[in-house]
Amino acid sequence: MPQIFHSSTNTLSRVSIIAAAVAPLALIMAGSQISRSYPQRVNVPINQPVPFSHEHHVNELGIACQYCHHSVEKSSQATVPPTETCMSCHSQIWTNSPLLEPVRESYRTGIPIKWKKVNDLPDFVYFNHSIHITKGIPCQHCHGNINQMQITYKPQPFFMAWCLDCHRAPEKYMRPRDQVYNFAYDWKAAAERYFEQTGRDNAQLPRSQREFGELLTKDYHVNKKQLSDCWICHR
Amino acid sequence: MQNELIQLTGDVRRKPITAPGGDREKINLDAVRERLATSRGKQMWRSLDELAGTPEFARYVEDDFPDRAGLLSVDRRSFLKLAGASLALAGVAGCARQPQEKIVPFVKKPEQLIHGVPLQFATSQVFGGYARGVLVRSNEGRPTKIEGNPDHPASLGATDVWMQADVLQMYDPDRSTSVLNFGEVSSWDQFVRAMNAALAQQRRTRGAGLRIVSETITSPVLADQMAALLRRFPQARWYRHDPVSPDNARAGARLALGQDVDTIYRFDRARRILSLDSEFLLGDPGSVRYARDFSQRKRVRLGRSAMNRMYVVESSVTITGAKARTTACR
Ligand code: HEC
Ligand code: HEC
Ligand code: HEC
Ligand code: HEC
Ligand code: HEC
Repeated sequence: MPQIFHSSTNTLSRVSIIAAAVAPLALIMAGSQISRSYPQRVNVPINQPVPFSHEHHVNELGIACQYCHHSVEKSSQATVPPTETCMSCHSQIWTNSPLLEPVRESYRTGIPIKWKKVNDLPDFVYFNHSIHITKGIPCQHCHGNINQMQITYKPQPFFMAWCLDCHRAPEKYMRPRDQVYNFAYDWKAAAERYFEQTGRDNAQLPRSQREFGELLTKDYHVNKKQLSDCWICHR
Repeated sequence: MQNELIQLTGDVRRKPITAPGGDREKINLDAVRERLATSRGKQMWRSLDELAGTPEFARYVEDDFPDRAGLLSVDRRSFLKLAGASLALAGVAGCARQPQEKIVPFVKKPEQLIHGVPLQFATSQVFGGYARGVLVRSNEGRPTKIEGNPDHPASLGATDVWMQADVLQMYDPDRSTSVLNFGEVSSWDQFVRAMNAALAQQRRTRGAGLRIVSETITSPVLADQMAALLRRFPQARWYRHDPVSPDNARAGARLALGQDVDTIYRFDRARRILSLDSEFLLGDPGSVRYARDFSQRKRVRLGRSAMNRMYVVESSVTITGAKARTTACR
């Protein structure tokens, strides 16, 4: 009697047994990954009423973040600029662009443009921009390379673990205050400049970002002990 | 599953008041009527059971959770079904996407406003016709808190109840939000038009039909505008009325000094004070300052061993009287 099953079936059956064991696990993991990031709309450009491009205005024209997000250093909210700010230029240039019609209309009628919020924490989380900027946390770390975004999207989902990763060890990411808006940061060059500004001895230059950050936590009086306490973010 | 759930919860729903197992005792209406007829005063009741004072009712009232018998009567299988459903549904709440929120910026941003940071304005609160310096905190354009202005002599940074309460006026639902014409909503344009027509008529009679009623005005600007108006309409009259006013105090000052004056008390210099029915610690435009000056003189410091002394004669009990060394009250 010929063999019904070819000898290769042995391997096949072994593989399928393992696959059967592993498949549910893989499915669960994939599912959890999707369910964690899909509702957060990570890396999805959001359709805005005006296709505003940071790439264009920040990278090519070199407008500073504070020109438009003027309260970011002083307030909990960074806020989006009033129509007036756009019109300070667009009443002179590209005045006929159809893409800018909503801006002109808002200026004419006095009805604000309604931007869709891209980065949105749940309402039970307290967040404050000004403290992060004054303690040398760069926009880039939280908002990614927004200077290269044609249409704004959020680069990561703002999970609690991500906030805590920094709150437990802020020295990993801290920069001198004047480097907060820099999207091409080089810690070595920044450290040298910082030592010069503060009149420190160059012989003690830090050997890593971490060491530099530790020095900055001391200089900026960051209270690391309480930073991962629940009440900091859930008040 | 759905149907079962509804049935189950239907089961758990509140039952009428009956003793478990036992039949309902009939309410003896005759006895109730008799009780009502013989009792005096108003009788209140919420159900006939209460009125009749049945034993079921007494049990119902005594029991903290009268309905729990229904919950306990769920059998094991139904209980497991309910528990399973609760467990299965518990996770659903976490799966919701956050709703898309909007950022709505200004079209033209008011100067100095920083979103999320309150602004402080120096302004004044008028009390008894006098302005008192205050600082008002404004959150995103909404006034939320009043504090005294440390640079103002009538406040020195302190406030009283009237100043604190003044902010509520902004949110008074009775506060008019538009121009009204005989109770109908109108507009400023129409107001100005109607006003101009009426004034044109008055010009012919030099204001003989024009009468103005106002509170006491101490604002120099407003007083000047009033004077200009009266110059233009010499026949017009301006009447002043305040619900509470220091008219008697002014009349007294006129008697004493022969001219119209407002008195400013220097409690920081007074060693003996006699107050005749004057509540200067609370009811006067200068009260906040007076209270501070008065209490400063009560403090014994190095180099000053004597406290001030106050005697009060008053017709009703007041805060000032409570602070007096001797009060005569009739
Ligand atoms: C010319 C004005 C302008 C400049 C300059 C500008 N932005 Fe924006 N920014 C906007 C406008 C308008 C929006 C809202 C539309 C959108 O989301 O793209 C916005 C949105 C954003 C958002 C997303 C807000 C949200 O909805 O969560 C971030 C983050 C941001 N900007 C960061 C920056 C940073 C960082 C810089 C500097 C590198 C910068 N912006 C420079 C105008 C500007
Ligand atoms: C400092 C001046 C300046 C400000 C402020 C400014 N823009 Fe612009 N914007 C420009 C210039 C310059 C261009 C055209 C660049 C090019 O295409 O060469 C432009 C282009 C655009 C375009 C593309 C127009 C088209 O037809 O391709 C849009 C959309 C736009 N801006 C939106 C905005 C909005 C919204 C704001 C306010 C948040 C704003 N801009 C503020 C200078 C400015
Ligand atoms: C520590 C992380 C972090 C840093 C650093 C940071 N942001 Fe944000 N940003 C956030 C989060 C989180 C939100 C969403 C806030 C919310 O939903 O309440 C946000 C929201 C925004 C918004 C939307 C409007 C608002 O106020 O909610 C703008 C604009 C913005 N950021 C700009 C900036 C700019 C410009 C910088 C750098 C100067 C910056 N951010 C630095 C985390 C950060
Ligand atoms: C890259 C580092 C970093 C990240 C990421 C970060 N933080 Fe912070 N955060 C800091 C530092 C540094 C401080 C300042 C602590 C101090 O000086 O006491 C701070 C302070 C705070 C404070 C305290 C403000 C106060 O008034 O005391 C809050 C709230 C806060 N962060 C919320 C958040 C939330 C929410 C997130 C996540 C969305 C987040 N942070 C992400 C570094 C970070
Ligand atoms: C640095 C800021 C920060 C600190 C500190 C922090 N949290 Fe959070 N927490 C967050 C953020 C951001 C979220 C929202 C995460 C999201 O949207 O997925 C969150 C969400 C949560 C949630 C809701 C989770 C959910 O899926 O709905 C709980 C519960 C929570 N935190 C508990 C805590 C407890 C307990 C502590 C103290 C040990 C704590 N948090 C400390 C930032 C923080």
